[in-house]
Amino acid sequence: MKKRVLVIEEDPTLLKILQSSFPQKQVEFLLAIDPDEGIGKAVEEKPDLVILDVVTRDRSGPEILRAIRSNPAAKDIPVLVFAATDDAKVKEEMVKLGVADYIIKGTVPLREVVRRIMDAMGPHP
Amino acid sequence: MNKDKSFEEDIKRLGAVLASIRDGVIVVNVGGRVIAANPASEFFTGVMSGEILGKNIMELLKFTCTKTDPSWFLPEALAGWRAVALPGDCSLLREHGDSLPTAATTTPLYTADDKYVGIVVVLRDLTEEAAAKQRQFKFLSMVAHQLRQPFSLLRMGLENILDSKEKEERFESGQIELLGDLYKVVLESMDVINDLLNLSRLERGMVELKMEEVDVRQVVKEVAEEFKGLTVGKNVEIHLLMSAATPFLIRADRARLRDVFQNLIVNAILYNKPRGEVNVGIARASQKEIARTVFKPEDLAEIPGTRYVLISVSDTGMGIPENEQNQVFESFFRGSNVIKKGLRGTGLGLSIVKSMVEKFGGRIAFESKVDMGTTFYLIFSESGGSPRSRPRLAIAPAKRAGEASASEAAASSNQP
Repeated sequence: MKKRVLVIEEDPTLLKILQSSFPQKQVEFLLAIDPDEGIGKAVEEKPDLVILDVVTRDRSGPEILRAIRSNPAAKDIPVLVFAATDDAKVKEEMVKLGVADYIIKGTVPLREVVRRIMDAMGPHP
Repeated sequence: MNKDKSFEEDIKRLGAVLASIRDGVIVVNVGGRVIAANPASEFFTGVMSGEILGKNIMELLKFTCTKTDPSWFLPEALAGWRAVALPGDCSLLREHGDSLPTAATTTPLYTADDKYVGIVVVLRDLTEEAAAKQRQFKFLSMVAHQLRQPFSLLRMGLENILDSKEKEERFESGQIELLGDLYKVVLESMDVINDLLNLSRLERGMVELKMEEVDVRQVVKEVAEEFKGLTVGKNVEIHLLMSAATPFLIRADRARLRDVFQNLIVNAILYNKPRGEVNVGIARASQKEIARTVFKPEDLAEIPGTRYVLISVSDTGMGIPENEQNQVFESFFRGSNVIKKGLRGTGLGLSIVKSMVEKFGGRIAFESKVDMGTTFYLIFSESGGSPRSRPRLAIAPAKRAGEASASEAAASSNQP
């Protein structure tokens, strides 16, 4: 079965890179440019994974994650954080709320990002 | 005794001069009693300058430091044998429990016939300076974080293209080579961004240091082992010169100390010549022995104790041009001879190393000659073992501030 990944990120470039790095038949990407849209889509679409970018303008990463975790329809969706900040406090807060993985942007090659996204989605089809 | 009296009178005559100084200036006698203080000192001590006379300096000034223990500062100052300075991480504890970021320096005072009569303590309010530094590095951190975003996308986008199996069909070989070069530029830029973030975190005190007793010898051995591959590749030999029997203990954060030696040793390997050598030496050193190296007396002012660990990392490489040597620890410094050879680097490594060494209460200096090589020296207060012996009061001819180190060598011959 095709896996579905929701990317909450204000710049769609990340989405394009990811789309082009996964076989289209295996993974489908959804994009939410603002946090509210992201929370809404997480609830409606129940993706297999949410990739959450942490420099979104409107709300801090921990707030968005809290909103996802507090919604019964979305609380069990694995979330992979993709953060521009390496602020240890932000990371600690988000890990406490429950994340599948936490990647600091630019510190790992794309190949590893791809592998960790696959791992975060759970058992491969 | 007469001499002491006339000295005190001399000080009093300076009242008008002292009153015009914004820094707190307190003069105490050998017993630690205040014999003069300027009006500005009231701001620091909370005691009116009229009521301060005769008070004990040890009760008047209480310090608190974030990384180091300041209890050595005033006793060592009153020992009278050298000028001392409070480490940069310290604040003055004031009456109502607030702490004021303060720089404190002391200088021993001698009469014309070399009799030690007291010390002068100068206190400077660092609040503004500390705040300005915070602002500067906060801004730097914001900029670096902002840059990380687009550069991470560039990196992943280029990796996406370079990793793809069809790239040979889509691009000409020249274009693929160009993409590869661009990829290298992106990775180097990200190194700069990451170094900037490290530096700003370090300077803003946001790096939590796990201070413990660390055997420098062990750390150096591990780092040398780690770079065996690199030394073979660069055809450089690395030698460790240290006594095998005993550990050299200093107080530091182990992982960060490792970063320091990684940085210095990688530089020594990369900027070397083929068939060159890297020598790392670790030894105990007295004040006297350190005075013979590149360190100046003021480098030792902020380091407590009388026993030091002196570490040298020297290479037989290209050296640093003389007219550039005063910029070596500045951010983005890169030797012109290094740039000409096409060797890459961020120019931030040594700024980070210096900042780190000073956080551990140590000091770093170097000497270098073009085409001969460079030696970096690090000094730390030796920790552990028996309680630190206090230096006996140096008998005349003792060292006065600014005097040549030869007399210091003579005066400190009373060391263990």
